[in-house]
Amino acid sequence: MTDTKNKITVTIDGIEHDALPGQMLIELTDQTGTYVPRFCYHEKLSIAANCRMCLVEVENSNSALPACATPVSDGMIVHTKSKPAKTAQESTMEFLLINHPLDCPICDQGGECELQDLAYAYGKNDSRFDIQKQTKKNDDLGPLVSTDMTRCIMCTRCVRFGTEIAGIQELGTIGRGESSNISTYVSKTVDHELSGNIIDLCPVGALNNKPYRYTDRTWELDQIESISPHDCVGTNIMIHKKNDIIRRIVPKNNPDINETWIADRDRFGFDGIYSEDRAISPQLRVNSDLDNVKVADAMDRSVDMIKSCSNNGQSIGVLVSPNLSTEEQYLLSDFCHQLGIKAIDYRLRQRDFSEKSDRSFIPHMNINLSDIDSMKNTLILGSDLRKETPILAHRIKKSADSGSSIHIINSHESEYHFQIGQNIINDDWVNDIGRVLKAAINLTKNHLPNNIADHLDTIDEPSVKHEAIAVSLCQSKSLIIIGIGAYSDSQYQIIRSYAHILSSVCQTNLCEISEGSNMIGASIHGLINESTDQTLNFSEIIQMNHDLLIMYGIEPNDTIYQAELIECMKSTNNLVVFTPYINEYFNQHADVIIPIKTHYEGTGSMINLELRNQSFNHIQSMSADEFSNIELLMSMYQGMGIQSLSVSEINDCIQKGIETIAITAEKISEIPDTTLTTFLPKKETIFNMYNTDNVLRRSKPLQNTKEGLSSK
Amino acid sequence: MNELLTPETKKEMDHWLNKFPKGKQRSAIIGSLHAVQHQNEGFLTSELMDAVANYLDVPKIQVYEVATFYSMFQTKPAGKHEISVCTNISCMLRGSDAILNHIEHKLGINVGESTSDGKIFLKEEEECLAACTGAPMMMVDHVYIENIDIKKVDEVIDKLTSKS
Ligand code: SF4
Ligand code: FES
Ligand code: FES
Repeated sequence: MTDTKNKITVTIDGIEHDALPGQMLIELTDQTGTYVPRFCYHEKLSIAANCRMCLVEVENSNSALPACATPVSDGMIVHTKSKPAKTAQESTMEFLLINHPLDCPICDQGGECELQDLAYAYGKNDSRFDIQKQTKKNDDLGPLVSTDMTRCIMCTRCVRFGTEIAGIQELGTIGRGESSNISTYVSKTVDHELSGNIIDLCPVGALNNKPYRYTDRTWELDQIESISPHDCVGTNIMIHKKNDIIRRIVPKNNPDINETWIADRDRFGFDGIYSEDRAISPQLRVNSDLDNVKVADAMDRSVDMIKSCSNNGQSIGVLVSPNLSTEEQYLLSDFCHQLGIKAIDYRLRQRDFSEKSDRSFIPHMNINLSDIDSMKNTLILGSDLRKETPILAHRIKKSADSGSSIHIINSHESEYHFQIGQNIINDDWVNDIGRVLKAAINLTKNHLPNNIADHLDTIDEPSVKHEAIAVSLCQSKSLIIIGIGAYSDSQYQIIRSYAHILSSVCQTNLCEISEGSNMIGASIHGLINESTDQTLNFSEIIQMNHDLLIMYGIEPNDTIYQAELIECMKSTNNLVVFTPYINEYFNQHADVIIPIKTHYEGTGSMINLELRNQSFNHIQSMSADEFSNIELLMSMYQGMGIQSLSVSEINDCIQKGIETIAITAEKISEIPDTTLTTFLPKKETIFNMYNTDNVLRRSKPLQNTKEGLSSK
Repeated sequence: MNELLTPETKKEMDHWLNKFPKGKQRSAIIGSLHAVQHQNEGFLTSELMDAVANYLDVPKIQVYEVATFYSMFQTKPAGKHEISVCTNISCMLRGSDAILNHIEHKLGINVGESTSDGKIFLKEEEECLAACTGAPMMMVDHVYIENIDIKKVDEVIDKLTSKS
């Protein structure tokens, strides 16, 4: 027999619907497509029921009931458009408008304002109130969010966002009754990495996008779906543009990745593409000056330089950004491969390259992002998680909020917005990971190969803390995260081995956060065209003397090897840079400068850390004398007289590459030889979330935030 | 930051903290603010509220919210002794307006202000304090004084001003 107890029927506007007990009425009406107006209700936030806009008529109830806070019950008969419902909604609207200013003509929200829309539908033409309206003081919340608090209708969505989503409450309801207002009370900016989302949450024009203030009306904008290029999560965004210029970016809801949220750098980062130091014209060095030339001339010169390099590409170095589209990455790798160039790399922030085979396991995660919500035990290794991947950190917060244990092992304190179980902060933190591994092996009585057993004998016995983490990880639904902090550490290989072995021993899931937005895409070519001869890594490449160094999409600030790279640029005979931006180093040392498009102006695809391949679109059509990055690369092929793949062939290769990663993702089971000396001594790199790529570095709004200013 | 709180205040705060389960320290904010306001002789400062937030381990803004919501907390400097005269319906019918007027004149301040010597704070507006049987009434330092008239008011105020 089916469970009749759990099946209830609710009639909405004369139509019967099945409902789940405990569901709120508004969830049901949303599901069934019956529109009920609302201001304070938001599906991702707790229920406040303070605006009363969602009042509906429920039979056998004396008064109208708020749909957002009324649980459904069997046999309930609801009218959302009856006379009593309409009257209740209209009255609420009349109350809301008592204090709301009539400044829609100068309000940025105009045209996309929930209050404006509902006032249009439910409001009266004139007001019965001639009393003085409230005025409220505006806080300065920093460079991202503008405030016009007189427009606030006290729905408290922004306040709930702080407590429930951001995990750090910055805004609150100050005062009471008529004099209550939303404020930080003491003057303070909102600095959370997701703070821009309150712009979308605010149903009126009280909290708005500050850089976008007073620029356009929303109906003048065109919308393009895209992917944010500022971390490896693959956040879905909507680009709003006018005359081929990006005016603002808003979230695109994707329940599997970012839900309705985007990080501030996804929203405000694009400003960097309008920076004054964009490379506009191709340039060639003649004597000591850079002269503007035609693209064709610059390309010809580059090709000549490549041709004149002796011995089969051995004296050419190529440094590539990990943020490019997979198509670009593929062509670049293939180009080098065909010419026999072995010195090509994109790992700008990896310090420890001691393990030679490390390209065989591409850092990625073996579950979906949305699976993180339901994890029960998580260990985070060497990560400033909130800064590295704000959206992933939010998923971890969700799991923590539903009771999961989160443990941390790191070299330094990092701010978290969730409850932490074991928190081990230690200079010798790598050793602590080993001790957890040891505890896990004691616990599971796992049999280990001798070399690992021997290695573990050399490290200290686990303490209660280490044991607690091991016990936690050995339960079901557990996850180990390796952060960028670990990736940039001088003991990365050993951290990674520990983590992989720990993951196998405790049978946990594994997530390796990768640098840039498309490091996985960058690895695809190497994966499916496995050549037996070893390619060189970033640190080796910049220590060599080259006849020719080609830099594609990167600048010295992008890498942790800044000083070494600048040295290398100086010493190379010829330097060709493909770059969206000019900087002092290029001005001084480059022999050929070829301007390229940024992500926002290009088209292609990127692979996020869960191996999801997503494509993105450009914001403008190219004029006849302009070249896309792909076209530039193709003309290099032509110049060299070698055959390139077509875009559709590349796409097939990409698909094949993704499958290869998924199949060959054997976890590491060896511990590298720790006696190997690494290239650089251990060095603390402070991860600044607004300095991770060349576009962010030039975004004025982001650079004026507390985080942005902290790197100055 | 905790050094802003005296041992007695902390003791009082611990008393409130112990009443609620871990993670629900927010519930101890009201009790704590009472103690701190008492310690600071009648009003709260941002620093003191921050100290409360720090001691209770709650976001600062949550303390500000409570402090600004309840009329028993003063977030601006106020005199040491707090007088509030009920002006709601029962008391009004029995002459509270005249009494309030008298007090304003006598102290030379308006409601919502404090005397320049910092001794007396005449509170903004007080709604019915549920002592209508003894109307008109006033509250002095949280103690009810009922059936008041001009004479009685003078006595009370003189006593307060002569105290330190
Ligand atoms: S500022 Fe906007 S989101 Fe916040 S309470 Fe006011 S209307 Fe709601
Ligand atoms: S949406 Fe239901 S009360 Fe606000
Ligand atoms: S009206 Fe003054 S105590 Fe009730």
